[in-house]
Amino acid sequence: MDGTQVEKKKSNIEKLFEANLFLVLPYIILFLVLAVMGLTLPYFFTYRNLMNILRQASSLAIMAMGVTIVLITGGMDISIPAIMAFSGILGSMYIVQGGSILLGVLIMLGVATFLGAVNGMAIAYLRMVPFVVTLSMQAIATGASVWMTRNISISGLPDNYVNIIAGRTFGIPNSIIYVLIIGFIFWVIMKKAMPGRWLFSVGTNVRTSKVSGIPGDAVIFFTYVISGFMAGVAAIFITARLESASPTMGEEGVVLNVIGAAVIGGASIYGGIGTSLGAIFGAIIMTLITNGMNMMHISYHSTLIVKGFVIIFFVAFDSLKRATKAVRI
Amino acid sequence: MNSSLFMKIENISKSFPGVKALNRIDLELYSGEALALIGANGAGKSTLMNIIGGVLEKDEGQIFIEGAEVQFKSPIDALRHGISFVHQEMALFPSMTIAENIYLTDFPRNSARVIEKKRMYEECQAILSRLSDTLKPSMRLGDLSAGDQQMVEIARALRTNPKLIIFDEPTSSLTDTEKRRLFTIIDKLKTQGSAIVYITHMLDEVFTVCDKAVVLRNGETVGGGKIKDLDYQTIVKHMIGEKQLDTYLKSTTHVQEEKALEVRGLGYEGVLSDISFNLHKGEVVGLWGLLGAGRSELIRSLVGLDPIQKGEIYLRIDSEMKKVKPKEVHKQVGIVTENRRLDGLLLPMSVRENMSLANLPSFLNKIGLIDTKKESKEAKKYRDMMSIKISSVEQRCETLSGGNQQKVIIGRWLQRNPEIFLLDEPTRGLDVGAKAEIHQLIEDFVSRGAAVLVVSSDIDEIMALSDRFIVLHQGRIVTKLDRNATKTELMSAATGIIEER
Repeated sequence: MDGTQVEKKKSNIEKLFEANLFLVLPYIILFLVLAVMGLTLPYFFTYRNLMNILRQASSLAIMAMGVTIVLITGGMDISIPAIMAFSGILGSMYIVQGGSILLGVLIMLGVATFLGAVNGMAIAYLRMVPFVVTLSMQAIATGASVWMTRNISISGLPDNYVNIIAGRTFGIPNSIIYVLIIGFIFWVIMKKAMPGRWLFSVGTNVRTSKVSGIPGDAVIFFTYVISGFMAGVAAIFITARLESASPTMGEEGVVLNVIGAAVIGGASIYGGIGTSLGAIFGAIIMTLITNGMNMMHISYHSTLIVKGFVIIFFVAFDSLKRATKAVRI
Repeated sequence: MNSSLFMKIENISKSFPGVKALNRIDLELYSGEALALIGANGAGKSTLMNIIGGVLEKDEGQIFIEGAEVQFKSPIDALRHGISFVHQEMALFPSMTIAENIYLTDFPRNSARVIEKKRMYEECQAILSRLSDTLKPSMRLGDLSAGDQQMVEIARALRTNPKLIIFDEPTSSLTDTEKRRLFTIIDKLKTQGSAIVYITHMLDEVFTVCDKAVVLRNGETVGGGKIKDLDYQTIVKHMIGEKQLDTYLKSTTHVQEEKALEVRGLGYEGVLSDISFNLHKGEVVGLWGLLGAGRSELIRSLVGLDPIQKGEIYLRIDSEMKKVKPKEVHKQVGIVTENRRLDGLLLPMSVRENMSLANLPSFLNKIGLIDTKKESKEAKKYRDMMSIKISSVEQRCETLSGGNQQKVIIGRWLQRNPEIFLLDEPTRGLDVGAKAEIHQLIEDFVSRGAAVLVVSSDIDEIMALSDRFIVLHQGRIVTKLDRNATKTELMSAATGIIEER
């Protein structure tokens, strides 16, 4: 009863601000980053550069959506880029050696999904720690990638393949269209369908979910399967954009970008919160930082430092929000 | 035995917001004597011991040790005055050795502040040999049995050479052999001149190890004396209070002939054994027992939330009793768990989302998406039916009062219209009005033929609700009593004593 009264005492503006500050913050940051870049870099706001940024952001957005689903359950998946590279290499090797494009794509999706399922099995059913499981998976997939390619890039992917992603429809790069379609499907499932409701309920309180008859372990398992699948989708995007495949596609900086995009997009590392739209915007922000700093001739390593601080800032914001809320309860 | 007065407590009172936890308690503790502190859950045993142990500060009253008044500001103060605690929940580290566990807060160090391992192991061995021949300081705690871990807990209490040792429910995780060993050790400590306080609600133990007893009820001393002058009945009567001994009997009953649920030989090693009972349509069965008797575990096992090793469950499906797995039971029953914040609600989510949680498939529209309008409508229906006080069904559950939260959980299951309800402490923490409303809901369930299995630690409540009682003690059904059971019978059975009528 007391809670209700406290709730009523707050003004509407305060409530609106409280509820939405976290949701609009990425957009405020996006605006600020854009403004700084636009003012300092003359070529930044050209159509070509912006489309280039969106194209680069597309594969990141795909992986960030995958990790967002995992983060919502309170889990973690740092193996996504390594799985992406590994499955991309396998599929590309098959295509380059004269295999069919369709089968090559299916290999990428299948291998990545399978590795995601291995993660999910270990975490959901064997109750292993997500960080350790996916860290090991990252090492295994990266090691296997280097071993298979002898660290040489696999090139010579046919135009038919490259054009799936790199082509344009009505002047808009296909990759952007695909991201929007996938983002919409994610949004519908997460917000409107039963699996989405299960996802958020497990992420909010897995015990309550189980008592209510929701298969909590299966939900957690499938988040890693989906996250693996999205790594496979990203593999198609990246190999087609680069017209080649190599182990460096999954290097460390990519993990940072993926987790960073999800967290900046509003996914809480404590679980229970996250959106697909947020993941897409987070991916754009991460790409803007990379692209902008690159154009300013700031070194790759300095960019890493900046990104690290940005991620810490968002996680701190998330923690702060939880802490103030805990006091209120 | 030399019995000199070690500690004297006069007029101790302690209040928490809204509750008088202790009211003018007097207590005398003698060296070489074991005093049993007895009381039902919430009688004030823990509060009293926390004051003696320096964990809580008293509001009023005085504590004297060997004639001089003392003030305890912290557990360290109490420790300095020779008071040691053996806790119920073992607060030990499985990955460390016995010696490290015992000296954790106070490693012996040399002048360079480096831990003197050799001295630590020697001193530790000296303490251990008072208790056991087999325990060695270098053993890893995690490799020990529950009984041996308890020994380590006692050894830790002995490290400071205490004059008073408080045992808080020390036998709750011990086997019979381990218990006997513990009792021998307590006897030994007595002859070595320690004063002992033994907190328990297992009455048989009191008669084995203690010399005197004090019974608390609602924060007051209600009885006690020398053990040899006391008997079971007297102590039980003190525990539950003599007035209103047999009131609150359930007035109406809706019990039908047909069974709704039958359980045969359910068991899980160390938790539940040989649990068999029936639940009839329209019947309220009270699952009674003390804390840790296995009540919640039984309810959770029935629906597969806890595992079972043995036993069969039969459920009425299409007017026939069919053997089913716990998972199937889960689909057919409504379940309210004992801690609604822990596993009852999705606190940051709305009333609507919380209510539909167990029933989502019925809200899917033609293309497989959740029909939120239908969801709201259904939530509003149960809001009105149970008069849940909320501004809208979109209100977050964490902002509701306890009673309203509990109704949201019940509403979740009502949406499925189950034939059986399993209710674990359905009114815990609720005010009188909310309690009465929940009781009325239970009455409504049975009047339309549903069966209810209810757990409550409140003896008055369980007596007012139940048609029949199943009494659990240490994971076993000790007895089944009909609705004419008296409080004395229930309380005796719960402490492990079965009386012949």
